[in-house]
Order: sequence, then C-alpha cells, then structure tokens
Amino acid sequence: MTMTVQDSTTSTAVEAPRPRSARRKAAPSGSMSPGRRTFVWAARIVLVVGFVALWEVAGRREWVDTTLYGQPSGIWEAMKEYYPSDRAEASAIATGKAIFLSFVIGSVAGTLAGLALGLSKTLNAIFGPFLVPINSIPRIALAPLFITWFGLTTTSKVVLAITIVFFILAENARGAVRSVDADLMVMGRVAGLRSLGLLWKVVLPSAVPTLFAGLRLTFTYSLLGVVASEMIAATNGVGQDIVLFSSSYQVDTVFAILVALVIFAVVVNAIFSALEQWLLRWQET
Amino acid sequence: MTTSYISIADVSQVFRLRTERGAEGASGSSRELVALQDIDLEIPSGQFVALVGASGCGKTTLLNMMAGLIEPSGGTITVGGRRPTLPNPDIGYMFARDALLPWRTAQRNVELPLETRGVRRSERAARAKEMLDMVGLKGRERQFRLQLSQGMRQRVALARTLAADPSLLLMDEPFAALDARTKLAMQMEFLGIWERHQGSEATKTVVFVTHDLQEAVLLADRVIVMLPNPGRIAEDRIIDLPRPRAERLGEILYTDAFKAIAHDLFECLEGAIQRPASAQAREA
Repeated sequence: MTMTVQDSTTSTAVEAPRPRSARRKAAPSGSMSPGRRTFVWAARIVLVVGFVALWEVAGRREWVDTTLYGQPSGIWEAMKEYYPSDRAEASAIATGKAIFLSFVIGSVAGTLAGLALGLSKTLNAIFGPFLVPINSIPRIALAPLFITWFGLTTTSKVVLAITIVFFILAENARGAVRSVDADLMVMGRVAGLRSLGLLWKVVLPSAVPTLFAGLRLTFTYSLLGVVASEMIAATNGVGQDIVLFSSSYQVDTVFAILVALVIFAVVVNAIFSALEQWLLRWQET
Repeated sequence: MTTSYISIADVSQVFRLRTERGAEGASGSSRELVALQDIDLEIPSGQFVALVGASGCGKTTLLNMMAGLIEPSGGTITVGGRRPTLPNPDIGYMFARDALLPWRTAQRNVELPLETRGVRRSERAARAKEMLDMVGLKGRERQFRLQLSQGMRQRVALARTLAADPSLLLMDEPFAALDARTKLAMQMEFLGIWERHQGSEATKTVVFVTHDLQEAVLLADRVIVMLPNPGRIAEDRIIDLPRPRAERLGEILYTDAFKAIAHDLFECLEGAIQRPASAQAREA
C-alpha cells in the first residue's frame, strides 16, 4: 500500500513537466483537443455547404421564388459579371474612399475629444452630459439633413458616418483615460514625468487596448454609415448599387455585393487583429 | 536644525470626508478626518528612518508630503531646504505594488526615471542593465511585466527607484506584497545597496514606511512609531544595532538586542490600543 502511494508520488514528480509540454503542443489549435477541433471544422463546413445546397435546391425545385430570394448559382454568375465591371470598380472606389475618410477623421477626432474629456474635469463637466443624448439619436435619421446640406456628395456620406464613429471613440477614449491605473500615474509623477510626458508615456499606452476595441467597432460603423447614406441618396457607391439592383429585382447581384462587403470586412478585421497582436505583445505571459 | 535634510514643522493634514447619505439631495454634512496632527520631525542627511504604525496613522500621507504629492493643510515641510514639488530629480519612490509599465520591458521600465532626467539613450540602456544586474535580474532585460514573478517585478521596481541615483528614497511598504522568503532576500539586497553607499558622496537618506515593526527595527537607524486618530508621532527611537547588517539580517532577528528593542517598541505601538496580553506574547 505504502509502496504504491510512494510510487505514484515519484512518478508524478518525474512527469510533472509533461502537462506543460502537452499544453504547449495544444496551444496553436486553441484550448480544444485535435479531435474536437476537426469535428468543429467539419460541422462548420457541413453547415455552410448544407445551407447553400438547400438554397440551390429550393430555387431549382421552385420551393422559393428565385426572383425574390436569388439562388447560389445565380449569385455566382452575378459575381463573375459584376465584380470585373466598370460600375463595380467605380462604386468600390467611391465607397472605399468615404469609408476611409470617415474612419480616419472620425477615429482621430473622436479619440482626441475623448482624451480631452477624460483628462479635463472642466471640459467633461461642460460637454460630458451631451454625449449620451446625442449618441442616442438614430444617426441614419440625420442622413436626409446632411444630403440637403451637402448635396449628393462624398461629404454627405462621410459626415453621416463620422457622427456615428466620433461618439463611439469619444466615449471609448474617455473611459480608457479614466481607468488608467492610479498607481502608474503616481509612479510616473515621482519618476519625474510632467503632464505631457504622463500623457504620452502612461495614459496613451494604457488606453491602447481599449482604443483598439473601439477602433474595430468604428470600422464596422463607418461601413454601415457610408453604405446607409448611399442607399438613401447618392450618385455613386455600393449602397446605390444595392438599391438599384434590388429595385430592379436583380437579387443575385445584390447578394454578390453583400458577399464582397463581407469579404472586405473580414480582411480589414484580420489586419486589425494582426496589428493588435503586435501592439499588445506585452500582454502575453 | 540647519543640518537636517528633511525638516517637518507643525505639519497637519485634514481630509474632508463627505458623509455617505442615501439621498443625494440630503444636506451634505461633512466629517473632518485628522490624518496628521502637529508633526515635528527632523531627519539628517543619510539617515535611514522607518515610519511604523497601523493603517490610518498617516504614515503614507507624511511620505507623500515629502515626495511633493500632497500639500500639508498646515505647517511647513522642507526637503533639502526647499518645499517639495514635482518633478523632483532628487527622489526615488517605491511602493508595495510594483507599478511597472506593463507595455515596457524590464530594462525600459528602469530607464524611465533616466528619460525624465535627460540621460542619453545609450547611457540609459547601459545604466538600466547595470541596475538590473545589481538586483539579480541579469538576462531578464527584455521581459515584460507579465512574464516576471512578483518578486522579480519588485526587483525591477527597486532598480528603477535607484536608477537615477536619487539622494532621497521614499519607500511605501515596498516589500509588503512579497512572501516571507522573497521579502528577506529583497531586504538584504536593498539594505546592502544602501549600506554600500553610506559615507560616500552618493549617500542616501531613506524614509521607509511599513506596518511591520520587525522590518523597521531590522533595517532602520531610527524608528518613528505613529498612532492613528489623529495621526501623530508616539515614539522616536534610535536603533543602535551595529552596521553593516545586510549580510546578517537572519541572525540579527534572533539577537537579544534586537528582541529587546522590538518588544519595547511593540508595547508602545500596541499599548495605546488596548489588546489582550496573548497578542503581545505572540510578538515576543
């Protein structure tokens, strides 16, 4: 009896490093075991392929009206036809430009405003109470106003998207600044940092994780703002195309555009992830 | 008086606390908390002074006044003949939490106080490496906070505190968050560094806040016992245990001289708060 107990303790002691190496091996594939992981991937593929196949069959057997709901094969044809077209290129450029402008301007302005509110009690006392009410306006409702003011221009789209993006990041940056570890601030001061140094070397780096979470969100919202604005009224852009093809019952082309938008969003998100991982490499243990 | 490096005269600190009420509109009666009352203290250059007391006795407040983080509500305080203000290149400050910037490597953390003093990049790096080596962290220069153990983090914090070679070290329970063994190792290391600087030009005055009486007696030249409500100095005792002590900290703990002083100060510290005799017996 004693022998077995002793044996088991010695063996665990010897084998102690094993769980760690096992964990390291499993690490690249997440916390799941390889078997489970294969199953999950298989399930995902079955889900997608199954859905597409069901959709296709439903269209061919006329269970659903393809004029209204489209059909995967039709979408594929539409993609081959629409993507290389001049119209698609012009729309992509117009929409992309507006997204880029609104994302950059809105994020920078929003972050700066948020930082100012977070750092200055006076500014926050004056402007802070307006943030929530303004942010609760359904911004799409402002689109007609902007179109009246700025016409059917890029400015109209950009301004609408900025009104969404700005407030998200302002709120975000304000919160990030306020939650900076008080100990780090004291340490910075006794280490000899003045206000600008504190901002640059303590406050901003502390805020990076929160700001990044906000930036992801703002990208999605600048996409939303621009496309929505184009759908309401514009001379060009992806949003206009969606409206045009929908109203002329070219549903397959509408889906083709949506697929392109999804791919675009996924790619941009992946870029964000990579950047975030690099910037926040210090968070790895 | 003129020979004092730190001079504290008649200092008091009153915090106004708004009493918590359920309704916000209720007439805001405020209560005054006397954190410090009529503190007089002279600290000569190069002395290692420990401030000991239970929480709420104002020891950290007093330390923060010396750092220039808080202004006293009454009285005067001078450090090196001047009213303490920040930024102050003459001080090094360390607390129980490491307060390392997690996005900086160990080396870049140690460089921070050098950056604010305008030291050139190459010189900073060399100095930071040297300091990390001194606290036993050679080879850890490029690691981030999360990759270091609690004890290592506190070592980096110590290296950072000492990096710019300040003449005044203000330490707020710097080893309180460490386990007993790491704590003793850190105490030995820190005391060793301090004792090596004694008598040289780089001699350092230390004000060391702790709630651990043994630690205070073990390390300091002089122990100031403080009591709360209102925060005040109850006892000011020179500790005449021979120096250097760093190598012998473990032994000193068991010497009769140490025990006698510690016991005596313990009576003073706990005597004010009526406690059962069993608690005192435990300490002895």
